[in-house]
Amino acid sequence: MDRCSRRAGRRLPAMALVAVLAGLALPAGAPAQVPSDLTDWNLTETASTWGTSYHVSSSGGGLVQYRWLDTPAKATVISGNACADMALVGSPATIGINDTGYKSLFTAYPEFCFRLRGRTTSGSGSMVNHDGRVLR
Amino acid sequence: MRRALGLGLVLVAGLLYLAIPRAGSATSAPPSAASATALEQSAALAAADAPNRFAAGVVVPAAAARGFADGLADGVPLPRGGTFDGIQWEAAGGEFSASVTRGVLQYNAMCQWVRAYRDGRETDVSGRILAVVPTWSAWRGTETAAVLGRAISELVAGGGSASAALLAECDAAHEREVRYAEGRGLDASR
Repeated sequence: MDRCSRRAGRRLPAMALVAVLAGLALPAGAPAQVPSDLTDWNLTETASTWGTSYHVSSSGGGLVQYRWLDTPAKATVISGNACADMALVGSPATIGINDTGYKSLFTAYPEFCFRLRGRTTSGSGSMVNHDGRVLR
Repeated sequence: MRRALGLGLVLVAGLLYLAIPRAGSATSAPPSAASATALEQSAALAAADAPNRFAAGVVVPAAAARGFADGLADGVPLPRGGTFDGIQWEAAGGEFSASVTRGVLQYNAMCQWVRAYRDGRETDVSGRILAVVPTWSAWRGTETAAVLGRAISELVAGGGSASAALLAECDAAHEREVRYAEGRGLDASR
């Protein structure tokens, strides 16, 4: 066995140890929610429905969340509603002015179909052409 | 002797073939008038242009949405005993566009056909309608079309995780619809 082969042989157990430790540190199969962007959503004080329906992904653990990508100038209320009968699913999220953090809407099983509905809070007027993102 | 035995077996097999009703024989019978109408409506939805899902168009307040939906529901097929009375227009509140209203009606009708097929109702048409459902106009070209295509394929092939999820979704919606419709003095779907 030449010197190169011996050096490579010594490295292999060390690499295996690193791989094992990395496997312990990173949870296998961590939920990976699927993002979808909503472009130019116009909201008024009356709740309206975004044009397309969405489905809970099979990889995300069932949690559905929403955030504004553009800093919202108005406080808004966002909800998830069942495609089949428009029943409210979970609880609506109230998102404050300038808040671009994710808000949880509901948890459901994979493939569940839902519509997003939104409005501005009472007395605050309309908010036009704001982009949002749903994680599902 | 062996030849006579063989002929006898062929004769018995022939008699059994004629005597035992065969699976699928119901689908060979011509559909009833109501079923034929449902098939025509389903085909029309498959042929209709996909709506502009973001067009402003006609928008009605929730209080008027039930009557508005009734006007749009004529072309959406339902199994016998089916209604749209359990849709929670009023509880959802706000307003509804024509595009969203059509989408909710078609999804609700899809669920009623899925349950009918699972329950063995209207076997002369339910499978044929489900085969076309993924191409209905409300969700053509969207993620929903793909999800329904997978689930319905599994359902007619005997079941799988996607069809189980769709059935669970439709059963849960039906339970809500019955409560909602009855609470408002309306006819719940079967």
